[in-house]
Amino acid sequence: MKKLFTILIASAAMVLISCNDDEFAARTPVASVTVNETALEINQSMIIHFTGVADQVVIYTGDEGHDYALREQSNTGFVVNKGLFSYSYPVPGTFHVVCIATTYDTFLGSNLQTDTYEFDVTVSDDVTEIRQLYSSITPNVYFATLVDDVNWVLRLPTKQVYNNKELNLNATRQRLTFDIASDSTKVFIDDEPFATKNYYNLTLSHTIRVEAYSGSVRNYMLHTLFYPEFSSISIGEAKGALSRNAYYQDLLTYTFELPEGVDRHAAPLTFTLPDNTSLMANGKKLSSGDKVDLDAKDTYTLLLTSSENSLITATSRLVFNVKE
Amino acid sequence: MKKILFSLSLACVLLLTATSCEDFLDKEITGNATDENYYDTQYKMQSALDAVYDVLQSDSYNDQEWRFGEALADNIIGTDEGLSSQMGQLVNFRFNTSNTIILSRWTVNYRGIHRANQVIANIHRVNISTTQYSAYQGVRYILGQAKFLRALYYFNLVKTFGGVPIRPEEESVEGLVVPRSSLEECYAYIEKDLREAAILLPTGYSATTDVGKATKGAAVALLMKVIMYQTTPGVPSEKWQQLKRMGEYFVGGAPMTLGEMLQYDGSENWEQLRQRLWFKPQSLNTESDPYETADTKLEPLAGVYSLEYKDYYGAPLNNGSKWAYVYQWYGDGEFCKGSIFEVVFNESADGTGGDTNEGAGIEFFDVGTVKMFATDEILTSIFGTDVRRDFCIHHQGNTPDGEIWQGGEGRYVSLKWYTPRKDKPKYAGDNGRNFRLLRYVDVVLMYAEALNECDEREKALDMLNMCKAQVNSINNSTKLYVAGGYGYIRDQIWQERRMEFAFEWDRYFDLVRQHRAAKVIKTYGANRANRRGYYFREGVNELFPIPQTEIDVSNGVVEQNPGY
Repeated sequence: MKKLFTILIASAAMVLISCNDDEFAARTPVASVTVNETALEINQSMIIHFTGVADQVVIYTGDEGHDYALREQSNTGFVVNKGLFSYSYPVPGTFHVVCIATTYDTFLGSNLQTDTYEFDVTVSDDVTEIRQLYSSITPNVYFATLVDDVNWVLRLPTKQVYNNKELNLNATRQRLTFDIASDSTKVFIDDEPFATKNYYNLTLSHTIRVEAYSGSVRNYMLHTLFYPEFSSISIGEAKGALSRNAYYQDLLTYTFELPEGVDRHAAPLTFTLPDNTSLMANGKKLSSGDKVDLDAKDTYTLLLTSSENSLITATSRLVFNVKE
Repeated sequence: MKKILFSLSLACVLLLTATSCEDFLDKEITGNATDENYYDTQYKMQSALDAVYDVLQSDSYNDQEWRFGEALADNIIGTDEGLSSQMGQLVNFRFNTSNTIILSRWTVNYRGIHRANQVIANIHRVNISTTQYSAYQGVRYILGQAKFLRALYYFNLVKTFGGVPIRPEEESVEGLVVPRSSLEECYAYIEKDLREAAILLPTGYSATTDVGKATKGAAVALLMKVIMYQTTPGVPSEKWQQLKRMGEYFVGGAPMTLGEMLQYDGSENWEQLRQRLWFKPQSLNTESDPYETADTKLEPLAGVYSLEYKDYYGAPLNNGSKWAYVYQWYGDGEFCKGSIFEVVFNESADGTGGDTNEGAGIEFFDVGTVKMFATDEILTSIFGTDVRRDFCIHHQGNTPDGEIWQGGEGRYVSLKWYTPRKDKPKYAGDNGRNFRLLRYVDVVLMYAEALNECDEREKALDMLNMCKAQVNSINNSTKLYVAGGYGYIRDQIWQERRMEFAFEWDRYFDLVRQHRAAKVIKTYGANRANRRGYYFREGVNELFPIPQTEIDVSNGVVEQNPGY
């Protein structure tokens, strides 16, 4: 009986011993990390791998709301779960990152010990690229195009159709909109700060200076061209009457009442054009007085080329509506 | 005596130890369903499909739908926008990768995918005891619905997180960690499901008990949306052309073949494809059975749905009164002419008549449960003077059936969120009406947008004004949208989308796919006292972070989105 009692006691002791915690005392914490990059762009991920010893890891990223120095004023850190933490900064600046490694006794979590690892990251904002530049002129939005690294071209009609009426487009007083990836980037037009509510005379060319938060500067030019129109046009004695399209501002329709006796397959086209403008048929230049086949499916365009830069062009698509 | 007792004890211990090795657990199970034998009939497969639909009814699904689709955007003010809560952090774009709401959206959609995969992976196990064409058709419809639902769940994930892991249809312990697929791969996967669903599913179901199941219209409508989300406004692309083509088929009535819908290129043997998709094998066909080829025309969808405010049977809703518009969302308007797919919440949604309705997620119109509201200023920005503004009621305003809403001074709620008294659920915590997930007006407006992007602006305006003319029937207005250039037509379509789909949990994702979420939401936030939305980070917050737990459990195989 005594032996049995001894066996039972020994068994109970074994059970109790198995529940004992070998690591009753807290480990010594070691805060160490590896970080992929300390010189970041805005919104670029900073990836931190915790490589030290800790029961719990918290990282203060140093930006608004997460400043370790202000932890008593409700600033908070981020708990790192499995040693991997990623974060990005929405604004440029230098930020002090603090990693807190904590160990504690497993018995009620007492005897806290901490170690910290600190480093700075710099976040730069170097955006000087204009993604879109446009002007909203009811009932249209006119998007400028970048023809090379510097020159933006905005193409406007002289008139636009709104509610079935042709209305003059007042290009001397219109607003512009810039689409730039960074809020910190500043834009200057003709050396004056750009404002969305300012009006600009779009009949003139303007210098555009884009300044990134980092101090980088990129200069552009904005040119406006009007879709070219004939000063006059006639086929034989018939004068062309211009009508515009509400949907396509570059599409001009000239309607002719063709008199009898005109050969439709060799109709004489007489026209005058503004400076630097050419009439093209299927890509080939036509001169006033040339004869055209009105029944052929030719593509007619008017091409305006800037005298300053041959890349700066505006093309009107033409439709000749010939009635007999 | 001591010895005997000791010996007995020892014997007992030894006996117990020895017998514990007995293999009595490894007996053949009889009478129980297992994953090996469960999916052998159409009816069991239907039961598995019910489980896929079931996720749509759950609170955990719907709570994430309104949170992400509506609460993040500029149409509403939330009642939980403080930074101390997970919800507040989410809507302020001040969350971290461990946000539990983001995790919930991830989890619940994968739950639906897992269940859909069960159906799709096991459909080949179905045994049918007849060679009747209708028997194959029945299984085909189940497969089509599962593919539609899987695509829907993946689409939810992709528009939230970008490229996500595509789970294998048959899971194994060895393959639990799946890396993310690219966005393009995910969209291709979703499109394939929907294109196949579009040829598998019927335009409608004859049995009234089947109404509410996904149809061909649902598959094509969702496919159009998926295609649209792969486009960039102002940038011509093949996807815009595809969207226009789908619109021509759905709205314009242009014919489309099975081969065109599937983008069939001949790389898979047609007969094998037919049999994979449960078309009746050619060898078993009788003379009276149809044989579908790649050139067979799809059933037309034009005329199946309508912009008019008419019920399932074609009768004017609410006797054609002004309130007909909002009755589209009520019990009277279930499966109405303008509704393409609904999450069926109504009591007995499972067909058993029992209280298995789970969805309390959309029931937040009552006092004390309002999670979002609009203000006079917000309503003006959405509707201007449009008559649809009248379908938002103010504190102490009357619902169409005479209830007075007491929601607090300055607050407006949409009557789209309201459940009329006669539709109120029998059981607490249930929904008394269905949620409209895809509507015909969405299809028409997507078509209009594609036309505009493809330089067919006159037609685009026609489509847009077709929608506006229907709205004008509410108050006999004659105001229509007007002709203009590309940007003007586009902006008018977007404005119409904002008005028509306001408070339907789509606004946020619509802004993101329009590539203007940052501009709109930051502007909205700049004008709010709590600046909710102002911290939206362009180029980052268009996608949400992969939940940190997924990164952790995969040991980094599942990679985080840029900027997090």
